Amino acid sequence: MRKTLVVLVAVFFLVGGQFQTRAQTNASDSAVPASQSADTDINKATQNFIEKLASSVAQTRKNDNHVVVGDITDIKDQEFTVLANAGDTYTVAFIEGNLTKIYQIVNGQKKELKQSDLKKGNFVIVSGVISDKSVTANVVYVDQPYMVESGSITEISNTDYYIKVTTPEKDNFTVDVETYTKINAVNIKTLALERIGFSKLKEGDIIHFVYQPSLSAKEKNRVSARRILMIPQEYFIK
Amino acid sequence: MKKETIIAVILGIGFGLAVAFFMITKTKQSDLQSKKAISVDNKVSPTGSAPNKVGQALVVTSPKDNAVVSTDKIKIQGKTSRDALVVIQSPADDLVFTEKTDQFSVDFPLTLGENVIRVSVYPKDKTLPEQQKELRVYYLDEQ
Repeated sequence: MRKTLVVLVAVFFLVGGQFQTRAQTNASDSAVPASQSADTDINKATQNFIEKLASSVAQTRKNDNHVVVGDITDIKDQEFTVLANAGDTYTVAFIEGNLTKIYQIVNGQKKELKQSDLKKGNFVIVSGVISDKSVTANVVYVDQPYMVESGSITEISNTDYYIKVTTPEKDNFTVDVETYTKINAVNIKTLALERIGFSKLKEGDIIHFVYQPSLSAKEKNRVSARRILMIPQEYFIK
Repeated sequence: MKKETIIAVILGIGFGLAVAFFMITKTKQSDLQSKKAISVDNKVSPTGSAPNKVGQALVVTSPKDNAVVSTDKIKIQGKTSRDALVVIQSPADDLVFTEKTDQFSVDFPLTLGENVIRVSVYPKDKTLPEQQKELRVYYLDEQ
């Protein structure tokens, strides 16, 4: 009986050993000796640790270089409130002694402002030390928000100079073309951008447009385009 | 050899084979699970006639959304399908190009403050839908 047990155990380990070799081969897709495999594991662990450390450092740097962006909803003596784009509300404090710099961005240039120049409704970018929902502002930029949209032209008014556009998400926009609106078209052969007039726009063309959102807009989704980039429908049927 | 020894050997081999078969089957299953394709949750705008057909998903690898930079130019890098028409638009500039490979890398200007940048892709295969990604980059000159 003892002999039987010995033989049984021997056969089991023999077959089990074969399987273990196969499993190792599967795991690494190549024949790796056990010592080398252990080395690889240690290297992998070290690599993971280095990657985690680098990621943590990068995250810390990113946090340090963070900004709060949104509209001013309330202003008090030494602080103001910002409703951020993500929906969170931040309390922004000025550094005592007028050390917080405030600038207005106009046409890509910055112009220095005073604290008293900030108004409710201003769109601001606040750079400083952020702790939870409080910010100690180093610099406040008063900027103008712009949006970018695209869609295909469904209607053109040659008398009122507007175009109706349906976006890929099926939103409808009425885009007013103003005297300051710059319109460029893509040359379908060279892909160069060419300046065109309003009359060159056609129903079915794709346009990409930049506009400034306005709370005082008379109609929802009625916007004035700053720039329009048109891709002729011929590009898509060539 | 004794009869009981032969029986023990046969039983041992049988048991070993059963265990090996079970383990190999399990390994194959776990291999399959780890290699299973993961669907990409991407903002795809169906405009073509085949809304279920999706090519190489548009991926913008750089810059990250809400990045803060101190230079007036950035490199926009990403992945899309070959020969697709790529349109990049922001308040600062418009850029239109096609790329022979599935990767693109272009310099793009920034204006001081917030830059809303929209990357749109029209695949060469016109039956595939347009894809878009929007990111915000803040160019702040804090001097």
